Amino acid sequence: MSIKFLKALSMLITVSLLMVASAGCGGSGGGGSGNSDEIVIGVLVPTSGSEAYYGTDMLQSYQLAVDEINEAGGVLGRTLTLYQADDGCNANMATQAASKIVSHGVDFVVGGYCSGATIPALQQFYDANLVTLVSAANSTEITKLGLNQTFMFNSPGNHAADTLVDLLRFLGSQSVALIHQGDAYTKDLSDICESVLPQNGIDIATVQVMEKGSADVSAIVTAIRNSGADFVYWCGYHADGSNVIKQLRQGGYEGDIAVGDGSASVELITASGPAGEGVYVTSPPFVEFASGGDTFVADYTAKFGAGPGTYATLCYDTMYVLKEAIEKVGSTDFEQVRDAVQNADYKGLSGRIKFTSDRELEVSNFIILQIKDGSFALVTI
Amino acid sequence: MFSTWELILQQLVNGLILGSFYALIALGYSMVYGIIKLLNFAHGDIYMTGAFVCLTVFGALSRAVAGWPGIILSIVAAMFLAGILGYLTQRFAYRPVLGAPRLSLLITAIGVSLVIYNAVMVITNSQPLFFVSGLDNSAGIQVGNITITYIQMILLVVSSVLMIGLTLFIGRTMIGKAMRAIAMDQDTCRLMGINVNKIIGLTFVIGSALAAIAGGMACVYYGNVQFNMGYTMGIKAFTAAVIGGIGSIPGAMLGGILLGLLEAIGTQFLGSSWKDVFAFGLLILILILRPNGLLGRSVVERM
Amino acid sequence: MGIITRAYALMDNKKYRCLTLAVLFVIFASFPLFMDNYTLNVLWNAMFYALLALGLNVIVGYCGLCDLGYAAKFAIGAYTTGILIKSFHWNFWLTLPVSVIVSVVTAVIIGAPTLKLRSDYLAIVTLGFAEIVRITARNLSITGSASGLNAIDRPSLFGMRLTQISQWYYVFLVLIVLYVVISNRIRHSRFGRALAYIREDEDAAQAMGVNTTLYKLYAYILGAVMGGITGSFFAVKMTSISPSSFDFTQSANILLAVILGGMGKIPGVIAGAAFFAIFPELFRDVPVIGDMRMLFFGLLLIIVMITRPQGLWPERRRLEDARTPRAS
Repeated sequence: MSIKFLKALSMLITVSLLMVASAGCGGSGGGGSGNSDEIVIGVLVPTSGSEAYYGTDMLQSYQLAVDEINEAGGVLGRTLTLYQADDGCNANMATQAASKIVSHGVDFVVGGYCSGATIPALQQFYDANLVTLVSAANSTEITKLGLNQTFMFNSPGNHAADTLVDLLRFLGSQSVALIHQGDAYTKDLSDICESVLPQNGIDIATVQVMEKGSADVSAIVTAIRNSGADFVYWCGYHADGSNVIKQLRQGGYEGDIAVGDGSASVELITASGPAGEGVYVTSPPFVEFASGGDTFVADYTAKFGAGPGTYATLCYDTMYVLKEAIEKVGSTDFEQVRDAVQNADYKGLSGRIKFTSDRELEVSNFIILQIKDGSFALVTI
Repeated sequence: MFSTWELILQQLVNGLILGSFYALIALGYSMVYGIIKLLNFAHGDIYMTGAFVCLTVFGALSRAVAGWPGIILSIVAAMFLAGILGYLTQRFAYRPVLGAPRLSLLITAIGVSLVIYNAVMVITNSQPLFFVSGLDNSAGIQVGNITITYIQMILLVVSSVLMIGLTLFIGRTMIGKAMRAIAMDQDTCRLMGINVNKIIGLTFVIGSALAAIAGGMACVYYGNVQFNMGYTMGIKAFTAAVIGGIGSIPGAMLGGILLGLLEAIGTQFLGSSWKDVFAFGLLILILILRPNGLLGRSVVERM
Repeated sequence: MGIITRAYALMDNKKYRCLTLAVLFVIFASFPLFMDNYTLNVLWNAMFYALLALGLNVIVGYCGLCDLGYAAKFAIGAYTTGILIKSFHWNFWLTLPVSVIVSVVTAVIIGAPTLKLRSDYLAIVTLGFAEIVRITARNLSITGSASGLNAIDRPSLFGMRLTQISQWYYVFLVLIVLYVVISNRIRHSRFGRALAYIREDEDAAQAMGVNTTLYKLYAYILGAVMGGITGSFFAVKMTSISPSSFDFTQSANILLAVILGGMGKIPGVIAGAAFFAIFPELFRDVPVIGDMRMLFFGLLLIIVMITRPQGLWPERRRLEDARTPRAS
């Protein structure tokens, strides 16, 4: 070995030592499970980056449920505390966040917004024997991982496709154009529709992709008009959804339009203006239409100064299902709580929560809304 | 349903609109590159900032001045503020690094981009904002099956006027002459008594103002403004500038329009999921065949 | 910097060098014994970026080529391994040679016609190529489309299945040593000196009979192979890969690590990568700042570039001729 090489190697080691020293400061030791007064729940949501709004909403919703539960005497006489780690909607960051949660010694894990960040993290929770309740992320890839302690509280994409089929039959539409945004969640939804719809005798006229934030879809609109589609299903997010609706109308498309759960937001109505009238939404449980939803909205708004977001009810219910499961078995034992969640049958704000053997929701929680006179109206088929 | 010719024509119209946005932004890239050989990665974020200023000012004005006067005022405000932002980035981030290796300059630009992008993201809580003007976006003329809206025509006219104006400014005025001279030889310019720093600053102001006009027009035309809108736009405009021959003003315009048209045609015949592969594939092909871009001049380079 | 200077001084003393090295090695290798998983994971991430940065350093630092699409090189390795394991049930270790071959082939296809371009054009070509790779991975079903490949089987080493972070820590530690040795060998070889010549003055190099296009291609291939192997290991460590891990931001991040640290200098590049990976983690739990850490990172980047334009830890000889290059 040359002297220069040794020098380089030694420098490498020095640097690594430095970074260990600095990282060590950030690393937290002590676990929560040792403390018998507390039940610590790890929360994996994005609180920075492009999806911070949703992650913060989820975190607040968990916090609301936890505070309520603690005020009512806690669970088994123990108080619930949250330990949050930011996944930044990024795979690398999520694995670090997950190991941070595991290292902290939490008892359970909740969260999961971006499928792409949640999936790499889930394996670690499985390896650490932590019951993991995924509140929002609903990619079917999560089910395919086959982790027997990971439960999905949001209806997966195939429920959305089934709801869409009901709507299409109701409207008598024959030929559907799909638009997604090329990320894991919207592409997954589009792929499922692409396979489910033809099984129900409905044609897929064309599948298009609109990159996030790439304003112009006029070429896509022309392609859709040319494909002869009489129905457009937007699988993407509400940020770009209103723009797509407006440009569809502006470009002369006259058929029906529906948007998926990523766009189920009241902002869609104001942003799309007159073009939005009559647009359908295959929506996750909407808090305004849930029984008991009013108190939830009032409590949430009083506590955090703004109304709850799309996934707030799911997160709120997640925490209560966990509470009931722990109370039912009378301990925080991994296997017992896992089995209790598996057998749970809970009627919450987001609808009925009961799991299949694949740990997906048995009953779809999707509803159909339509924009009428500037607000959402429930469509019953 | 369209006939084949109608379909192609409609897609060309679509491409022209998108292309004029690319061209306006590409001009800023090209001007800055021409004068200090910097790939200004933050340029797409300046465009985004312009859109945000336009939206905010319009919102603030809405009680007093609505409709077209309000829109014009908002875009002018966006031009000014983005111009100032462009100048500040130049003055405080790029100028101190001008003597360093090229790559350090590039990294500084990425740093500036990170700062603007994340600042807007934090300010807006990463939520989109929506521009509600009350204008009828779909009013327009119909030729056969081809639709062109009035607002699209306004966009085309404004971009054409701006591009012609800029060409005249660079070609006919003393400042334009100074810009071209600095692009050739900075040291000699300094000896000839040209205030090089001032001209470089001005180049940033003009480039940023053009991007801000594009941002303002996007805000009015598309109606939604979000922190990530400059990212794709920036990369595409950068691509357009290179296709045209970076440093060349007519090249940037040509590249922008061409890229817009290619994307529209690509969307129609290959599908939108492959359109970027098509666009970037062609970019690589063009550069292999014409290593200085379509209108770029061959320059001897020293790293 | 105090510790570094002292460590450097210690290293310069021949009497203590071997001893210090040995002690450092033991300390370094002993971290998994007392550190929690989180800290190890952060360190793993730093090592991962260091591997990528070392690979890119051959292209950017040694040869002076501007590559804005390094994520594609690492995606190609990751997807080759991922597909072979998921669809064809190969053993991980057997996928490595394939990963190398695929990396070489793609590097030749993209590099051979484009490496003669000016550096800024080369930058946009590499960026375009990276976008093509990412979008193709997103569109094809064999690459798992937008969801990517998940539940990739973990490999075994010496009959031990690699599942723990501590095991991966050692695997990547060995890789780091390997990459450092390779980088160091290149730098001091005839080939490395030719690359430095090309970087400093391509025309002169050509005039002196260096086949610049060929040497650039070699450097490009070498960088691609190093990235590909890192990608292969990344795929099995993460067990899931998706197109979003290989976007332009990732390419920019790797380039930042190289430039920030001081391109061309091995410890500098590693320091840059470590800084890049660890800095955001330090701010993870700080309220308000935690959410704005990328903003501060950007600011810091600008400040570092202004105060130390050659990077945190530049190569000594690059300090001398820092002048704006101009077209003449």
